[in-house]
Amino acid sequence: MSNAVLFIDENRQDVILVHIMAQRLLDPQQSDALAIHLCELFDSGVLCVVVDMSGVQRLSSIFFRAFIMAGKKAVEHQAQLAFCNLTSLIQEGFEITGLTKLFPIFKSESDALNKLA
Amino acid sequence: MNALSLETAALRENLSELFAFVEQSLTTLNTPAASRDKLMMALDEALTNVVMYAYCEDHPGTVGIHIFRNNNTITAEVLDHGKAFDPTMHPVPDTTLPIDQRPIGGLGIHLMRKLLTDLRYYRENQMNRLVLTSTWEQPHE
Repeated sequence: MSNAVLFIDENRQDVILVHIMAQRLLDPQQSDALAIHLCELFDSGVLCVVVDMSGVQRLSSIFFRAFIMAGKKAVEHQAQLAFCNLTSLIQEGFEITGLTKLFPIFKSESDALNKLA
Repeated sequence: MNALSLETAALRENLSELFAFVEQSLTTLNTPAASRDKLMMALDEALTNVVMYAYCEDHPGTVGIHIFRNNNTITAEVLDHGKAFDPTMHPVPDTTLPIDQRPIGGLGIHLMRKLLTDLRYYRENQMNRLVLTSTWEQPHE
């Protein structure tokens, strides 16, 4: 489960889109890898990161930890972390855990780019 | 009422097998999609907690899971012989805090409680037994 490509970055108008390539975000090692990657983006000077969750069907709360860690790093650098293309179940998970109050959530990639780029 | 059951070593490398078992069992039991998705998410949390925290690294143990259906209710039991831990007594996190004051963790148990109809914990014979229940409304005939 840990050997597959987890994410692919795409630079779009000064916004880095991080496309999640896994259908299931459940593996603690993957969570650590994603947290490190997002934090490294902010440390490198990127000011806006949008995580595209369009392929994700299942998500464990260990990934919410990763998102909160990355969100703290974004605040440290006065940068922004956002999300797009959440399924209704994952949207519900974000709402239950209060992540919708911490991060902008967009319906689509184009919606995110229109607002943030 | 037959339970679908699996017992395996509580190791990170077995999480995939456990998650797949949950998904397959809920499909076999004809669980409606909304309940199935919420149960899978809650069971992902429960199983990950056992694998990550129930045992010391030098004394790994087992994790067991039983899933059964009774009418419009699915019950899942997660069993381990690790440290006693009652998630139902875990404090509710403050999900309204701003990001700079937010603790990193503590969301998984909160998520389980919100997604399920009922969550109960028993400590029996040096064993943790976590009972997760999801009930859905019967469609009108």
